[in-house]
Amino acid sequence: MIFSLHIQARSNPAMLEKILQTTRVRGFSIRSMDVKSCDTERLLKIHLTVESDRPQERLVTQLNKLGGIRELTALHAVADSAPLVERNLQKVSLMYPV
Amino acid sequence: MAGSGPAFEAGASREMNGAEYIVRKLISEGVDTLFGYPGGCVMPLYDALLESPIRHILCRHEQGTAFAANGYARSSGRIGVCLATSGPGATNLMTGLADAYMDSVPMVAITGQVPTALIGTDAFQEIDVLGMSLPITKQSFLVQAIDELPEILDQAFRIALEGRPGPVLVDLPKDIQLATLSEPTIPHLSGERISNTTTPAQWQQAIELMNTSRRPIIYGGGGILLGDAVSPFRQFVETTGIPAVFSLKGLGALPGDHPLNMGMLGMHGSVAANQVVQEADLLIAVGVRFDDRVTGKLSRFAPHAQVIHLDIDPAEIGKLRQAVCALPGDIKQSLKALTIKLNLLDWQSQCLERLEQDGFALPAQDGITGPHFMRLLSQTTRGQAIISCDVGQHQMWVAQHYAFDHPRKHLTSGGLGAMGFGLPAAIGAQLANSEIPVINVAGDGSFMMNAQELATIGRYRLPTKIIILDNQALGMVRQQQSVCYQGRYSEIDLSDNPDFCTLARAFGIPAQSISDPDDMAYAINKLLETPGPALLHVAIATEHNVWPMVKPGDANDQIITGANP
Repeated sequence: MIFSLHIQARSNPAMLEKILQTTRVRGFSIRSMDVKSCDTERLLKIHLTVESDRPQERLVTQLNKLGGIRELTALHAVADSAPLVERNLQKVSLMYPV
Repeated sequence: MAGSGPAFEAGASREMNGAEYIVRKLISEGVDTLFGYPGGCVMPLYDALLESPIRHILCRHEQGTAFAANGYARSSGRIGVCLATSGPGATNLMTGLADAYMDSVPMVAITGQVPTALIGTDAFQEIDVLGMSLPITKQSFLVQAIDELPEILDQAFRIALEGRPGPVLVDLPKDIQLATLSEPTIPHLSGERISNTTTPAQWQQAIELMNTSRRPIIYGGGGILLGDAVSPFRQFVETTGIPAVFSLKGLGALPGDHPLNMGMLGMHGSVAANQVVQEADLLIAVGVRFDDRVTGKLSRFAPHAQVIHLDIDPAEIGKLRQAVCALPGDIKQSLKALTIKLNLLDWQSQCLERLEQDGFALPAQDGITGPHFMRLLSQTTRGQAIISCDVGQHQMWVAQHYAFDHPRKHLTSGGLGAMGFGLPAAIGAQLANSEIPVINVAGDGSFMMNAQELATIGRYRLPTKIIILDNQALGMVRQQQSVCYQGRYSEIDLSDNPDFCTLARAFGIPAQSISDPDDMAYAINKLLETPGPALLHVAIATEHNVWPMVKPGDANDQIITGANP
């Protein structure tokens, strides 16, 4: 089963690692991930699409326990054969004086 | 111990550096004992500790400090605090933190880190402690600026205790410890228990299930103690009259001699306890997580039972076994709501009969046996000592035959199963409970994993007693090789153990050794009466195994006894 999660989390050191590690350890593999940092709110806004034969609830309850999670929405479950949403990503290069 | 200086009065406010602030924060949180080992990146903190009233216990290995803080927390219900330097100091803490995470023990670990400017440069004794600790802590923090320090420490002490307890790590770069914090205030934020999230309608559903059940069984675990629910749990059992079985961490929730106490279930549980669970039509799971050592083959565990599950952690409910009635939240409140009178006389007498027929029995074997010894130790101490176990066969013999009068007196590495836990955990327990006898029951393999902590016991002259059941082998591994690998013994021989009595005496600890069953009673009494620390070495046969046993992967109704392995 493939499903998506919208997560808002505090932008703490290792917050993203903790979410990814929990996802892996609980038996879910990541199909896609989109992360935006919102500096004014010190928040990470994460859209995660994951796949597993385990129930969605098992991941949602574990992620909900993590310190720093502000909001978590399980969006929908889709069948294995359904096409994933494609996203257009823009590559941005930053230059700064050294 | 260092004296109390005016600079360390809790609540006072002045300019101070990060290290001084941490010490003041520890005092304001009520920390009286700190287990640690100094090193380069925590030197400012050790300098600040010199003038504080906090009792610092210098263990002889950082793993010892973590297990000692762990034992302190388990035996007192208060937060255990340990301290180590960066790099190897921090990595050596990890097993103790993992153990606390698995068994929901409230701890705060403080680790030194290289200065912030050096982080990420592979500096001397630099390791990514924050990253390493993520999977084995409830939460980990890296303090990146001095202004973050007060809030992070507040959070650390709150998170360790609130809800389902657990360990929290705070990684502190050396420059943060030296940086000046202007006019800080030190609020005291004690842990808050979360309120109940269960509704009266859910309790009513549970009561209806209880009223219609003919063969209910309570399955109790470590959450009873962690939820401060021992007293309401006992009232619940007394009033409903439902027989109870327990996981390793639930032992003591009901007195060992209580007529409704069916004892431990699972891999080394009694035939009776496993049997009544397999026959039950209702399983009331209280503060448990359906661990595989308890359930055996999950799909065949309690096959006829509907499940009511009480737990403070919603993630545990339905994780492995679906509950028809989920009661997340404060166990204490839910137990009180479910305390009703039931009429279960027939079922009670069936359970009692099973217990008499198939409870834990003493083996008919030559020499000293673990079960005989533990039964005698239990009778001699009346189940009132704090027993700090290591991991292995002796741990199961304690669980089977020591009748604990309270779960806080049973210190055991349940989830992680960490050999080497027992001796340093006993040190922590002794420091938290100076009036209660503390006994480390170890195997010869486990004891050698943290034997250096004999020096800590010797240094502080702790009255901790040590019992080593020595079968000159890794007994539990040998047993599984015997039962599951056709007796192909691989790397289990420990016949070159040192002379444990000589080893103890080298640290100034008196010791004696016995091998004759007739000497057991005298030796136990002599051990307990010896002032200060003492060690008793007990020689047992290598061939003795722990029975009964459910093989890994088997169902609990496939349990084997020593008679039919």
